[in-house]
Amino acid sequence: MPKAKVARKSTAIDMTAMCDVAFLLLTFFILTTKFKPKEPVVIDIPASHGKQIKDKDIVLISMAPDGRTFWDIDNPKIRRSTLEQMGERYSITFSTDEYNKFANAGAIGVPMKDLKAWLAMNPESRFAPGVLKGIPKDTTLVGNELGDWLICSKKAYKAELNKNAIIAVKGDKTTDYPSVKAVIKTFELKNILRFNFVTSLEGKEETAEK
Amino acid sequence: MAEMNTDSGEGHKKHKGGRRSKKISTRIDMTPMVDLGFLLITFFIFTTTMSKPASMEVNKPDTVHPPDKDIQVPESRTMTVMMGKEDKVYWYMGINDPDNKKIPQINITDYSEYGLRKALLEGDKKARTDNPNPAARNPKDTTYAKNGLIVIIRPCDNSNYKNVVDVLDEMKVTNIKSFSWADIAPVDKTLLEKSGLNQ
Repeated sequence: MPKAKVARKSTAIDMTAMCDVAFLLLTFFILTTKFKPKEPVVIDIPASHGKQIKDKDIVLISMAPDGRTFWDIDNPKIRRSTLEQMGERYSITFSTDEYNKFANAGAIGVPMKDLKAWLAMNPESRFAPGVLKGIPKDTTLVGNELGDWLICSKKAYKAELNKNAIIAVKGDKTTDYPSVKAVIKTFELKNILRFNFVTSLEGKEETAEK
Repeated sequence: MAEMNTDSGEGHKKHKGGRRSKKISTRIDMTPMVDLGFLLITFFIFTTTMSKPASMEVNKPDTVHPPDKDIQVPESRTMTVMMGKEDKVYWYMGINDPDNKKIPQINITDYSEYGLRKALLEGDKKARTDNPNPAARNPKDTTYAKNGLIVIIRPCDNSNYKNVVDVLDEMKVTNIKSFSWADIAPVDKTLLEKSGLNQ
């Protein structure tokens, strides 16, 4: 009986297909990565045992360690609509170019009267020290700009998406209480009684019973 | 595929005595390239920081348009928590009414598990045992949450945002449902000053 001959095959396999897959995945990951937008100030948020939040469709009010307040919305359409209403309220007309710049400007932290000049700056000098004064939130004044931003954002959400805006507050651990108080007071004045504090998730889940 | 057609039109002609160019295989070893590809994928995956923000929902009572009647709270079940500077917490039970000579005893603690949380849990336990309403001791009762400890959170002007979040988080951890958040009252301010505590 003749011995069954095993055909000797080369062990080298064609790597081309695998290479294709690897680079396809690489391309996919690079393209789908959303870059963190440039933040005007570094905010170190405290931790809590809260539940996770989806960071879509929120109006984010950030508080810097020194108490300056910033307003931010991700959705460019809502931003545009908010600015239209803010312009109406403060009798400022913005050009199409300014609207487009505003839609991609990230967090806003300048008083309304400086907004036009701020948008005209080149992106680098917008974040220069001393430029971002924060949105005025003095509750003793009638024209509380932070309140107007909130009202306009709420209206914009309602008009564009027919959704209720979720108001989120993001503060630094060291933000002093009077600044926090001023922001919360503004919310109350504008009848926003339900809002969220953005925190990081506390690692271990501790039990209450001890 | 990776092979390329190297045959030019001349390749079909018969070479007669001419010098034959050496045919080199165009197949290249793709293994290092695959290695590089996956190395980069791994690098990008590991350097991407996953941000997992959490949120804490806050419901504030309407203080601008308050309800007509004040809600009466039993003082024996009321605890006032004041956040001072340098991460100190001052708390007392009952109410602070200097006119009626009711000066509560101030306790000083911190935000740790054995500080504020312990005080809250003990206070809640005591409030439930002292409560004449049996619903306070029956977790299945619908009014169970209302009959425990009532906490009034009063941040001093020297406290910071982290302190507020910490105390509100403690409410969640200790499962205290009745709490309110208000600004520091002048009587409490005087009490702290009299006790020699720097807010």
